[in-house]
Amino acid sequence: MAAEAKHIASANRTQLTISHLLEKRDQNSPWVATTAFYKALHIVEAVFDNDRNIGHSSDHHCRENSLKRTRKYDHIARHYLPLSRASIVARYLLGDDVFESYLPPEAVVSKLLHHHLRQIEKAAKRFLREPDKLDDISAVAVGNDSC
Amino acid sequence: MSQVDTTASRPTVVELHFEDKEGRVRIVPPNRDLMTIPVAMAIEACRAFDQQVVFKDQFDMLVDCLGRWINGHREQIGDAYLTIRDAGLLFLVVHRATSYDDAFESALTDLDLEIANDDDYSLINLSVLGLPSVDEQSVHTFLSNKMALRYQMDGGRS
Repeated sequence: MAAEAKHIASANRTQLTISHLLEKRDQNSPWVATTAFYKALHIVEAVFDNDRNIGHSSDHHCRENSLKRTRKYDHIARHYLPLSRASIVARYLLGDDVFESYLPPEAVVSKLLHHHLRQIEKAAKRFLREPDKLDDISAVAVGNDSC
Repeated sequence: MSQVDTTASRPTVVELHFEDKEGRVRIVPPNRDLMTIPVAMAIEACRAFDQQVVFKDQFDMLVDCLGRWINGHREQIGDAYLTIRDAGLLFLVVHRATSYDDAFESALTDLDLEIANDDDYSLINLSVLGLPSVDEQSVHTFLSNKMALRYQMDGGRS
C-alpha cells in the first residue's frame, strides 16, 4: 500500500473513532477535539508523502514547520494550527470542565470538526492522488447526549 | 593547508582550509588547558559559533516583536511567556477569558505564520499556544525549567 493510502486509511479509521465518541458527545468532547487533530495529522502526512521536498515528518514540530513555511499549504496551516492548539488544551488542561468551558461540545463540532477539519480536508484533496478515498467529516452524525 | 600569516603590519590571519584533511589545530585558552582538534572540527565549531551569534540576534528581535504583539492585544491577554518546548521555542499566551475567542485564535495563527515566514527569524523554530484563563499551576506545566521569560503586562519582561 502506498504511503498516501496508509495515511488516508488511518485518517478514515480515526474518523470512525470520532463518530463513536460523538455518540456521547457531551462527555467525550475533549477526546473528539484530540481525535479530530489526529485525523488532520494523517491527512497532512498523506499530502506530504506526495511532496518530494518534505516527505515524512518525524515529529509535531517538524510537521508544523513544513506546513507553516510552504506557501501552497497556507490554507491547510491556517486551519491545522488552531485545531492543534485546541487539542493541546483538551489533552493537557485537566480539571473540572476547563475544556468544556473553553469550547462547549457544540462548538467542538461546529468550529473544530465542521470548520477547521472540513477546510483541511477540502484543501488537502488538491494534493492527494486519490482524494475520493478520504472520508468527509461532514458525513459523521453529530451526537447529542440529550437526544 | 593551515597557515599562519605573520605579516607584522596586518593582524594575524589563521586559515583553516576544508581540504586540510590531516591538519590539526592547537588551541591555547587563558587557563592553558590546551586542546588539539582536527581542522574539520574547528571549522564546524566556527560555523556553529557564527550561527549562535545570528541566533542570539534573532532571539532578541523576537522577544521585542512578541512584546509589541502583546501590547497590541493587551486587552485580551492575562499573561504571556516565551519558553522552550521540544526542539524549539514556545510563545504561550494566557487569555483573560475562559472561553474560546475566534478573533484571538486567528490573531495567534497570523502571528505564528508571520514569524515562520519572516527571513529575520530564519533560525527560530517557534510554536504559538493560547490558553484560556486558568490557574498558575496549570500554566506552569507548559513552561520549561530551563528557560521561561514572563512578559510584564506593562510592556516589559522578567
